[in-house]
Amino acid sequence: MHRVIDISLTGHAEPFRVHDDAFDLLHQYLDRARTRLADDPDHAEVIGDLERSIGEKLAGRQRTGNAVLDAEDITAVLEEIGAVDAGAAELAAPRSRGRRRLYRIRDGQVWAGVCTGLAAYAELDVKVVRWIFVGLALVTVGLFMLVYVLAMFVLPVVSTRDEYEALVARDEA
Amino acid sequence: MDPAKLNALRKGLLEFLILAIVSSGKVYVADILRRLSTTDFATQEGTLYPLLSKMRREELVDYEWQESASGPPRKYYRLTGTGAAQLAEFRAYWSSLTTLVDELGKNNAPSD
Repeated sequence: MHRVIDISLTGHAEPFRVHDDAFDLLHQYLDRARTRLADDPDHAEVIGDLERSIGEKLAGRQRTGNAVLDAEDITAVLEEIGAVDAGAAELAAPRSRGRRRLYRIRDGQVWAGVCTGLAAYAELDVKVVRWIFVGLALVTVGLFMLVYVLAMFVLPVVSTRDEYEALVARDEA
Repeated sequence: MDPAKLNALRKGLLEFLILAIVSSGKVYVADILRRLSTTDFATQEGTLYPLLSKMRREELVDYEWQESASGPPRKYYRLTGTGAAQLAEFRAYWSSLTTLVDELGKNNAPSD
């Protein structure tokens, strides 16, 4: 036995009566849409556009079919509208590069993982980074060590380079 | 040809095709979908709404609300001055591209 739930959609004065499983489907779709549009400054407006359109199509199905909409109705409407593709907008406006963030990486650290983090960030061998660090520290008579200490306090930590790459990939996605 | 190879190209072109469709006068989303439905660029609202809102942010298109007999008011889109300029620029670029592709093909023929 299905529960009947009233759901209101942007632009539609009357709520729609739907079965609970249909409600869940719609809810999941809109949640996914919100996640995908998280970086879109106009996400609220786009969700509004989607809801207006979903409502219009549901109203059409209500007129010709059941007053209470079921999962089949929702599935058909959502398939017609298609998954939200923020990519089309993103591709047209490529994100500025350099969103890679700097972390400290515990795995392979000698002191606090600043060099391992820098190496992952700059995609260099950690040995190279360490020599540069040591060199700069010598040239500046140890003053450069302050940079290391500062970085220790400022940078967030991850435990492995894999974890770092996963974070970067997520940021760039 | 491998459809995946063409997908990226298609995706990038979609915005310009929308500019071209909107240039024909006031259109709403269903008009755009219908014009594209029979082409290689058939798309869905889930793609169109985020793209149109981005194009509005970039001031290429603008919309106004208009009442509809069968539901909530609709957004009717039209081109802005910037949008019209970008479309003209794209058309010029596109024709230079097709010329280029044609000419590159001919380079295989022996030249004298």
